[in-house]
Amino acid sequence: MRIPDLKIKHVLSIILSIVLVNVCVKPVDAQRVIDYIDISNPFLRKIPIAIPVFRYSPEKSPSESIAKDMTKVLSQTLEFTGYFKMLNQKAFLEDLQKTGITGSSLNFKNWTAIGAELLVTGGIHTQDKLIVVELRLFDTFSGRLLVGKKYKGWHNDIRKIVRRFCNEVIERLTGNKGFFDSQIAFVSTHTGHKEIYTCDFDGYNVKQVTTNRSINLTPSWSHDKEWMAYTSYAKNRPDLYIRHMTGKKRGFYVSFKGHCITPAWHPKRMEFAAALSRPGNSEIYLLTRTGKVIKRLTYDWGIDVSPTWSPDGKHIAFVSNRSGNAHIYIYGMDSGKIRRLTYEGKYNVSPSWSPKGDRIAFCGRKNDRFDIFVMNVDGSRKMQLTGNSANNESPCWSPDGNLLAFSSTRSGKSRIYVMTAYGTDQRLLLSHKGEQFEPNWSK
Amino acid sequence: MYSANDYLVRSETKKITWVLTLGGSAIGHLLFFAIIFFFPGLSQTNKELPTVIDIDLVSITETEIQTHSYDAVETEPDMDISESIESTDNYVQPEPEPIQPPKNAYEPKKFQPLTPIEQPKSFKPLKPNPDIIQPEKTSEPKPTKVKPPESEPVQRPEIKEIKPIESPAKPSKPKIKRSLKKRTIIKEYIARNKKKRQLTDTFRQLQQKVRIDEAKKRIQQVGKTKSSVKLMDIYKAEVMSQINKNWALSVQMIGGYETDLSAVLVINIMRNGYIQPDMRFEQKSGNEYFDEGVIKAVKKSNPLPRLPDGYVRPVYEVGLRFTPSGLK
Repeated sequence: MRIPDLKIKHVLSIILSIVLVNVCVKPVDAQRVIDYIDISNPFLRKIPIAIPVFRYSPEKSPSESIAKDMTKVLSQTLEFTGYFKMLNQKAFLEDLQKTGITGSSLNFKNWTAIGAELLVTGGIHTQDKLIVVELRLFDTFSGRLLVGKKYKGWHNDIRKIVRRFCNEVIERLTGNKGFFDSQIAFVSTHTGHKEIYTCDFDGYNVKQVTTNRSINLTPSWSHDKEWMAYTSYAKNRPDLYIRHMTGKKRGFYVSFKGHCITPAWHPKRMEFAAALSRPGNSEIYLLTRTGKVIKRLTYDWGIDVSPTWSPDGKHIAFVSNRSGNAHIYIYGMDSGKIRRLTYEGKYNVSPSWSPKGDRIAFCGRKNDRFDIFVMNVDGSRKMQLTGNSANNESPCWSPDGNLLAFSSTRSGKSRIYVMTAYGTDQRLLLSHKGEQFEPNWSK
Repeated sequence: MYSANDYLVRSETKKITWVLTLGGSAIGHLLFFAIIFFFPGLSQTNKELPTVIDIDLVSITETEIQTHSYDAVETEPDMDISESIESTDNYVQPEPEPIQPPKNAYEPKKFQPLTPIEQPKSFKPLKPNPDIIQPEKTSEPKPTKVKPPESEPVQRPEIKEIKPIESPAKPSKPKIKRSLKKRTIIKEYIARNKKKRQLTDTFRQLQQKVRIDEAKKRIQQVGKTKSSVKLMDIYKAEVMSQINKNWALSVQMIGGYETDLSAVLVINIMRNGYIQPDMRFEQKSGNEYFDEGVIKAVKKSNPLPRLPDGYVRPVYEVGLRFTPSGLK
């Protein structure tokens, strides 16, 4: 009896000591104390990118000037996104004309030394009146080729080529499509009347859409960019007009008793929501592309206007004065339920739902001035984006949800400005005669 | 059945065995901790493999890479042709990374000479003495080695680490001359160069000795812990500001100001301030862009300021905790 017990005890004690050793050792190992340094303040809040002048192969004057133009356009286009910090060309240690544009002929250490994290190289040569452009995006630290493209086009296609390449760059870096094919519609008093105009995302290529010498307001692009709905007083009353942008198809005219204003296209279908005052006060309706009523959405004694769709098309945010003041509410398309979002202030209008779906931008009145705010779709995390001694109104999102266009009177007259979704990099979109309001960014 | 208490109380022999086992385990523990204490390097091997990041040597292997790159460049023309095909798929294959010798304009930035060249003249008596110079020369091909061995005594690594700094400057000059094919000049030049180098080497050795002696004295006087802690606090602040300065982080890429991204990167700083290439993430943020940016910031900051002289170890291991909290 006893002897086996003793053995068991020995074994037990050995096991116990082994366990003890293990228990003690682990924390010692983990405790290998090293110092920590907190680094929390990045000096630069953008990606430093270097775009040296493109290489041009027959050393003649025409391709040289094209190369310089194109480099400039590419820099401006990429800078517009707010992602990048363009490094000064004077600081560059290498010249593409001498080195080459492929990964093998570049010495990336000369680019990391000046702080560049990305590098775009380009080469141009002419081929019987056509230009052939090779563009590459490199990660300077790993020397990895991120995007490489070759384009062929006419001399006046420079901007088109650059935009296409920029789309690739943004998609490669962020995973989202770039917005370089998008357009912005706005109202301008260029001719003395409030007419609707369009321009490219960067303010170039301004075109007049309406020419009725009346009052035209609140343009809205359909999801396929083919149609535009807007309010017009062409017949001396606020009615809706639906126009085919290329003019190949006949437009539609929507008129009911009372006003028909603030159209907003469904993000996926050819339907739109608008505010009609048919029942006596203004209510939100859902209409077909041709202007037939599908459904009345709101039933309330207050005024309901300015609908904006969530990107999945399941909710509509709108403005209502049902509480006494103008505030923003959300309507669920499936449930039919209405939820109030804003409580602060007395005047919150022109909501715009972010294409990412998580934020709603709106215009609120604070200290007798209008400013742009953004908040989560449940009303939380409200953030003021503009704050100067002027009015900032009617925000609308870029298709990738990274930028906001809005109108501002900071320079006296109302003009269209652009900023990032966090309120940084506020700048003028275009200088155009007269005043500009109510931007609307296409998909 | 017996309870545990019975064993302890009842029999003498059992008590003895208990004492023996406890004593044994105590001795074992002592031994173990002693080993851990005296050979801290050992415990590293037990660690789980951290996520390894490939980082090409930032400073020291430069000469090594250069010699390889010449061969690589010549094969390139083929790559260019294949690249110019229109489809994007061809671009996906990673290009080789030949690294050309950096231009002279850029070089002096990286390899700051530690001592001015004119000064050594005052040390004439040391010149004819070959004993000090000889070991230096034989060991010069070595600088391709990345790490100074950790287990070496404190003074040795100092001398070794500085060698690689000098080496890149050396091959460039004779090469240019050779192309001119003026042998006599080269010989003269090399001889002069040699003298200069010998002088600077000896001078540097002397300087280091003095520096180490000073550090030792200081430690003896003030007490080791106190002074080094203060010194390291200042040093840490320097490192913080330098890396912050080199850190570029796009607010849009990380989804706005209100993020709780955080990454901890552990680096080893050598005495001369250069960062050893074996960085590792103790904690990743989960955002690929953020993590890459962190590494880029550290690479851009290389070399960091020299370790303070009062710091006795050859390498300073430090964790860098990156958070974008300062953005707001």
